[in-house]
Amino acid sequence: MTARDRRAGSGEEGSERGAAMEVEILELTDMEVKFILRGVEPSFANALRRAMLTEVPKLAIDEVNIYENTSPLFDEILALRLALIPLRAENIDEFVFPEECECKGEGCGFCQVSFTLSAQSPESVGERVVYSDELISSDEKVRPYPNIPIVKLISRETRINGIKTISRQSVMLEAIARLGVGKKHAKWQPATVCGYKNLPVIEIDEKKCDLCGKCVEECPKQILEATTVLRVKDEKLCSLCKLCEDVCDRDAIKVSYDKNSFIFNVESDGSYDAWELVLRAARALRGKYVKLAVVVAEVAERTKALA
Amino acid sequence: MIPVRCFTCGKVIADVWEEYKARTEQGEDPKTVLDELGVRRYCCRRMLLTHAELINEIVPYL
Amino acid sequence: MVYYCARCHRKVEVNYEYPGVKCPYCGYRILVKERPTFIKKVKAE
Repeated sequence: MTARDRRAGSGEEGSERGAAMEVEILELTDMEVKFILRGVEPSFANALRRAMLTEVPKLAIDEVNIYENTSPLFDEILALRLALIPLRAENIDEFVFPEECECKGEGCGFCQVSFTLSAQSPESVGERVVYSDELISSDEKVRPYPNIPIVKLISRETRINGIKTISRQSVMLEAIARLGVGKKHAKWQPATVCGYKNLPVIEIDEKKCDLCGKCVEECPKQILEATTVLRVKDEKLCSLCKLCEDVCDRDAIKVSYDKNSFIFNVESDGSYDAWELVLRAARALRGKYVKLAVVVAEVAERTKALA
Repeated sequence: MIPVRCFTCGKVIADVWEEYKARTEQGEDPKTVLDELGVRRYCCRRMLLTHAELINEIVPYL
Repeated sequence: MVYYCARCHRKVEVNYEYPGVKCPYCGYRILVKERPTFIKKVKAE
């Protein structure tokens, strides 16, 4: 019996890693979070990463009804620019997917939010940039990411029938935002950067090391320090390039990594706070596991009944 | 118009474009401006650094 | 279908019986199709 089999077979008492799971937060801001996840299998770390990218639902503009567009951009380009604006909803849990909504995809207040945009270039010759703040939301708890230029409207002088006139540009549209997940389109992906690396482990054999300082010079991240002993300043910054190993002719330094510890680096696009994103991904993952457990139990019951 | 997001990583970069443009036109080094605006990765930096604003040049042909 | 002349911006009716198109007022050969008035639905992706 291998270690893996034992763990899978014996259920709770075999899950010694499960009990030892540990999270250490390194950095935390509204948009970013960096943490170390210790004592988990690589498959779990990857599942969490993928859940953050594709399983956390968010709102994004999905359909645009264009009433008027005399701007320099095509309708489709305008629609795409609108779609990529992150929307932050305080009441995100109140929304449902359009496919699961009681209105059967017709569109109602539970499955969609509408934004209106109406803008015109200045009356005299000049230009004006339309920002995402000018989108008027039908639900005041749903706000677009501020300060994104959507389109520039330009008034210029033209001659029509030999008469000088000012030709103005205008945009008038209604954008409909729906709930979705990152699997369908990147606009529904709440995390931009979301990756991990194993926690580096640097072992220094002080008996072999003669403090030549070659490894200190070689390290591209400059994390080594040689004073009276060779010391690692911050092993988390190590990129596992092993240049220090190559340059050491006494084999005093050894770089490896901890298979069950991961440094996560998560950046939100602005639709959630970063910590909330991680939490929601973990919840989504748990929901999936529970569903799987139910299905497996059902199958087991049926096979038992057949036998 | 500046793309709303970075092509590679998806970070929103359009919101800092105007400040970046104004400050580099005043002679500031793009490197320090980008660092101060929190644009760290080189994928996002090239979005701002290499963008050419062509919208005003299209207008006469509309 | 309504067109307008790209140079003099006057509305132009296109006579399909003659070969080629031309603005009857200024002779310009580039005509632009006017945007239809209905609401255009665009998928944002």
